Amino acid sequence: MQTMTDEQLLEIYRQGNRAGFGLLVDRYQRELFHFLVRFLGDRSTAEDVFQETFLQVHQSAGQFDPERRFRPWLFTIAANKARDLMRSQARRPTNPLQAAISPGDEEGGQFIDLMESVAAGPGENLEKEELQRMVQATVMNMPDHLREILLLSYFHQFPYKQIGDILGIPLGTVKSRLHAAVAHFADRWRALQENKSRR
Amino acid sequence: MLKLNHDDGRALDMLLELRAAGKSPTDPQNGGRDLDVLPEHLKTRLLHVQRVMGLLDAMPAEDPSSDLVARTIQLLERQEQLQPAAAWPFALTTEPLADFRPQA
Repeated sequence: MQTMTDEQLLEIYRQGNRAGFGLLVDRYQRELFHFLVRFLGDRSTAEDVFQETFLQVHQSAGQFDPERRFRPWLFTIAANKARDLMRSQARRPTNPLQAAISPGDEEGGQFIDLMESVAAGPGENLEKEELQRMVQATVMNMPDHLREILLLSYFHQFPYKQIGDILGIPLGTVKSRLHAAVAHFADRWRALQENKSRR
Repeated sequence: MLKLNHDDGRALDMLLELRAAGKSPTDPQNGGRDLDVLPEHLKTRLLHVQRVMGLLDAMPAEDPSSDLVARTIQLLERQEQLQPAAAWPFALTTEPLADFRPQA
């Protein structure tokens, strides 16, 4: 059973064998948890949403379209659960830039040039732990919808079309939002480096 | 709102497309050759974008608790006890998980 595809395991579960479900949970425990902990920023919350996600998988397994791929469906559920939680917690923006950006606000804006905004050798001359801390701070301070798409594309390597399916947005919006996410990350990183060099 | 210029945007799209396909622009055996058809300025952009994005590799990711899988299965079993079988779209076997043992 270990070599079965996700879709085969889900089908086994739909036919009444629990082992399929357990193997899916085990197979995705690291990857899905990593997405949630990086998105939500809190370990305990990430574990709660992880469990809620698989509970939803269980509840919705009967309606899963066997023509679909399981992995993007799983992440769709997880991302929805995570966003629902953040909305219910009514998180406030932590900085003015975050307050100014919201989904759908991809029109207009200022262009940046990555080759100019980030100096050659980014990350060099930084201790590993300091680099980790700074990168984490930069990502966690991004607007939620930009951080989300950055995680899905870079860390989880979903193709643009699947990201569109997961987030329920058109392909053009995937691209523009992703570009905005990288521009935001690069700009914040540059600002952090400049601040650091002034000390 | 900040936006990437056209060349950086193209370079980013290419980089992420390669990554989604399991390739790398710096691996000559797997993805690197895809760059051969690009104009030089775009190749340079792509390699720079890759270095910027590479910063994200430093982002830590904690691993889940060792009992997360077991707790998730237990949650499901508790849910089944709370809701009768008729509520589910299919009937689950009541036999033990013969083929699966959660990691301790």
